Amino acid sequence: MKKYILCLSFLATAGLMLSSCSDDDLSDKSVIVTSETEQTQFDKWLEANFVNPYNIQFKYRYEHNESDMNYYNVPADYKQAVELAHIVKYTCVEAYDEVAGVNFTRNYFPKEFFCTGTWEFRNNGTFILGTAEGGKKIFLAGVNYLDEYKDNINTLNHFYLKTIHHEFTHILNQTKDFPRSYQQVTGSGYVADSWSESPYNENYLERGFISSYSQHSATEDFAEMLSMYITNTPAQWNKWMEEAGTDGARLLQQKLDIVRTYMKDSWNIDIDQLRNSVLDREAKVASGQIDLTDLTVK
Amino acid sequence: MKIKYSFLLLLATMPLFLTSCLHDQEDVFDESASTRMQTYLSNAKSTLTSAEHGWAFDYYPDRKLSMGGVAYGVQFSDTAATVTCVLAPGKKETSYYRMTTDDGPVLSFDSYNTLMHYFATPSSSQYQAYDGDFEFVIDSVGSDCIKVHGKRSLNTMYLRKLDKSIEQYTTDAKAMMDNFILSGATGTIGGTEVTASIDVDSQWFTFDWSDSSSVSTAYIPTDKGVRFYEPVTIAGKTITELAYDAQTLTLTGTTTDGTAVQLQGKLPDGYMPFADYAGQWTFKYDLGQKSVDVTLTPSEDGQSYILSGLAKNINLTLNYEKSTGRLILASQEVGTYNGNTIMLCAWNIAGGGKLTWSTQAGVYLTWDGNTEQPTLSFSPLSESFQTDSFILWILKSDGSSGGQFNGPTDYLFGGSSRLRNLVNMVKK
Repeated sequence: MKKYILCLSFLATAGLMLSSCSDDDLSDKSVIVTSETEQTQFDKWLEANFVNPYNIQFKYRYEHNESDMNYYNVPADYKQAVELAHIVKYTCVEAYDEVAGVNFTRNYFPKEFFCTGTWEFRNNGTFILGTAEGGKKIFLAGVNYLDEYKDNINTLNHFYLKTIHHEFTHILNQTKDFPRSYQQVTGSGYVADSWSESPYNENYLERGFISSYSQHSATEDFAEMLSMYITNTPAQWNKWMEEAGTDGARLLQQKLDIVRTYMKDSWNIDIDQLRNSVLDREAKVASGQIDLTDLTVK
Repeated sequence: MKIKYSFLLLLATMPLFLTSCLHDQEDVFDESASTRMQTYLSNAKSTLTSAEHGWAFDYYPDRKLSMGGVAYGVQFSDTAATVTCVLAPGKKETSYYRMTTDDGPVLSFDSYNTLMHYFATPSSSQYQAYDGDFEFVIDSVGSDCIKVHGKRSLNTMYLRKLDKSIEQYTTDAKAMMDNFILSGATGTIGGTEVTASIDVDSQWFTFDWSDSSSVSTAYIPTDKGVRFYEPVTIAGKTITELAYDAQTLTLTGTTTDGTAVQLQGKLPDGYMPFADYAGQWTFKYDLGQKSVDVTLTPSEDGQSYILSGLAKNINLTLNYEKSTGRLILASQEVGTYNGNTIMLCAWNIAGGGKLTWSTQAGVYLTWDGNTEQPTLSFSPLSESFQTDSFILWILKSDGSSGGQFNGPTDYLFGGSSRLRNLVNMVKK
């Protein structure tokens, strides 16, 4: 008994000694102080058109932590970033609003865009147009060439809009995966980084691939299929199917069917309706019918 | 047994009594790290914005310092920076900047400016750009001088408060850069004889003294002379910059311990100042059998000349090499014909007749030093291709050879596609 009392009393005293030393007072003032930069007119417009309706942040000023230091990136040009924000809103965000409802866009459209000025150039002559990450963020490169490309629907598409739709497809996939069956259609045709080299940079349609880049991997293939479909006219699509020949067209059709079903079943989106909306809006931008510079907050 | 057990228990619990109070630490600083950082940045920003005329920014692209320094002028308002650059005189551009923290306290030019971001902008042929920075980590802030380093290159750079406008500073620095044409200088520093060799193309000084002691440094032309990348120590004396007098070709300055320095500069042999090339010349070729009256017309930017008169519709561009005062005539495009390009090609007759449209092949035109009747002689640009003549050739749109160009006459040299065996040019 004595043994136990002794034991307990030691432990009790030890406990007292330990507890008596934590006597820091907690302050109600945070030690994290962030740097403030004044809001520009563009910031105010973004707040009214992206943040408030969709909770999307459009970052047009360079941030070290958002940038990939493996490449020599430069900031976006202010004027062209303004134009790009208008284009993203009109041809992408509002296209999905129209076809899938504003709640879809609010829930799934990437929450952050980060823009830089030039493409991310590699040492082999290829360059990156954009990337998507974590289901939440899209990185858009090459903003500083926008004025050169925006008046022609093909270049506007190829360098910017298709990229956004391509990256958004990744984001949808990152949220809800696409079926395993997709990969099996042209499973042995994926070649990773060799996609840009000979012989893969030619005759890919005949092998059942919608673009050279789609030969990279099943993930890229899926994003290419959907983004190429919705940013090109039915006439162009049919032309590609003809070019692909019987076997190529069959493989492409198989993959397109899986894409169509996925979009309908997982997201309740009809890809033909989406295509109509996107093409209509893109044409209006390319023909100069949309004001891309107005920053008045309505 | 009982006693032993209690003793053991006491020993075991001793550490609890002794260690428990070490969590109590005194704060080294009065404020949190975050607050201190914001205060530092705030102070840096108000220093930058308070300079009435702005700052001279000694910008060094490339971690290898292969081109020395480029003079920039920057004026900061509360939100934006107005930038001028010695490579684009008369031009100024405004864009946003920000004080931020990531690599430490950082000054970031975070929206695109064609001047400030010039050396950082990549392209497909130059995927690493010129290894230039546009984000700078702030090392120290003084009232007249701010020390930073490039985030990527880690090059040390300084911003110095100006007493003239950024436009004036840039104009003056450009004039200095254009006039600084020395190939070397000699003098004494603190009693020791010093020889300097200067490369004005890559903007480097090398100082030699005593028994094979040597130091090299990159430099930047400023509105008053040249400033070294970092202070250099020569024969035990440290110096940061030298003022330059273009009339007397002298470099003067003071070492950190107050010793006066004067170096006498020299021009390279056969150095002809840019403006002296302008005018009428006699172009001799075909081993002296052919003489043609030609005119050399200077370009506005002081970098090249147009040579006209060899053919009615063909003008040749000759580039000026500032470090040697020579002109360069290299293979170049001179026109188009039927959808193909007409190339002036460097030609080596003595070596067997090979020709090339590589723009790296051609000739130097070097002055013989004669002021009465200046004569320029031709010598090959490189060892690997001994150009002694030129010939007009067709280059097809796919880059393949289309054979010798044979007309029309207005596009030929006196009826021929060939400028054989060049001799010299003599001023009229």
